[in-house]
Amino acid sequence: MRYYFILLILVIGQTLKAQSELTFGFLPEIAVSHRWAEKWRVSGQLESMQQSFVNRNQERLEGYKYIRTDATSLLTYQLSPNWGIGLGGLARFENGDFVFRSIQQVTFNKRSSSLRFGHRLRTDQTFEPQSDIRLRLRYRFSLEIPLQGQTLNDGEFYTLWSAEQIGIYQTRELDWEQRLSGVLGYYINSNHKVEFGLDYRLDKFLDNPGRHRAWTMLNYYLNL
Amino acid sequence: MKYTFFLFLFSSTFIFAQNDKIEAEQRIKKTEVPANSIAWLSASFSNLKKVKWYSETTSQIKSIEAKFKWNQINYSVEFSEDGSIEDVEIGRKLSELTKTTQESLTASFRQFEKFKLSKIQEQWTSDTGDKLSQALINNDPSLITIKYEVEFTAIIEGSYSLWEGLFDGNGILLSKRKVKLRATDNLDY
Repeated sequence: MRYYFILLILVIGQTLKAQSELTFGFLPEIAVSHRWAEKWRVSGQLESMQQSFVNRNQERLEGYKYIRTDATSLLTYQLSPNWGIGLGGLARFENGDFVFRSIQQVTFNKRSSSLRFGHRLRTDQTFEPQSDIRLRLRYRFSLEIPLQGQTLNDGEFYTLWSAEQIGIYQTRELDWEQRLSGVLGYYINSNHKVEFGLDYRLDKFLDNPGRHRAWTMLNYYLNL
Repeated sequence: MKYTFFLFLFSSTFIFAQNDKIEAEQRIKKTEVPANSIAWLSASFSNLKKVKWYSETTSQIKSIEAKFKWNQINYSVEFSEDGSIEDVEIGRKLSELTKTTQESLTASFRQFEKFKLSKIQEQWTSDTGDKLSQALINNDPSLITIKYEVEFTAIIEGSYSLWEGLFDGNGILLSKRKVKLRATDNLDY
């Protein structure tokens, strides 16, 4: 498992070294969800983005800066043991402005004898002051691997890898964002789990040198 | 003040953890496996390589499981805690079963609404370990009892879920249980 992490750090490190601008920071998240009536689940997430530094050509441009806090809520319905749909919204407070995003998603999760695969197709629409609506189409593939045995049990570690492609349309312009993340998770029990890892994001690379951002993630999931 | 909140959150975590029923499977080393289990496996499967050993605790009952691939087929062999053989499970596709069994199981599956087959394991059991071993060596199922452990999704008793059913060779459902799936919050959000 540690080899995956070393590889991820090396790949990200090499990519960032070769590029002009790098942002590094922290992205802690708390996600609380509650299931009722077997098929319905409501969730709330709180995520805070904090920049540690911005470098360009190994020169420090900016230091620590609080960027934003996102509060997201989703209502999901389980169509079958594998398929689910969801609707929700995100409220963001950034530079004194209030930003709202509406979210729609379809998920398909499947497990093999030891792995779990997750597919998520999501569309969202972002409304922010003095800007045109921003439309995004996102697809994310996730793979969860237990690290102690064939299945994940209480008190065991796992690793979760995700790759996401995001198409963005705003003011008649298209952009494309790519995300990769790898976390080490600890499954405390069916109510609690924690994850720690890295989230790498690349965008604005279609017409520009690209913006590279890497976030240290600390996620806590609570199922009530 | 905020530290008090986090302290409460994490204390509650461990209180919940202690109250939960323990149902776990863990990888173990070959040196931790009873010698009679290793001997039975070596006698029943020739040239066996890459066996993964697991310790399983279900409702406070401990068992030992060996998982491996033999002649391109997935096997799972379960032993009691003292190392005595309990059963052998063989991964099968529906099309690999005899035509009669296929027909019996398929007819039985029709009783379930929105049935979708996920996995079949052929379960070999016998009253003695020797008979089971002979059945494997000679590939002679006449010596043993065969049942089918089937994992499937279907609507049963109003619940559209993943189920595990045990069927006999005639397709009669002997028992069933709902498979508890872990929350997919870290895959969905």
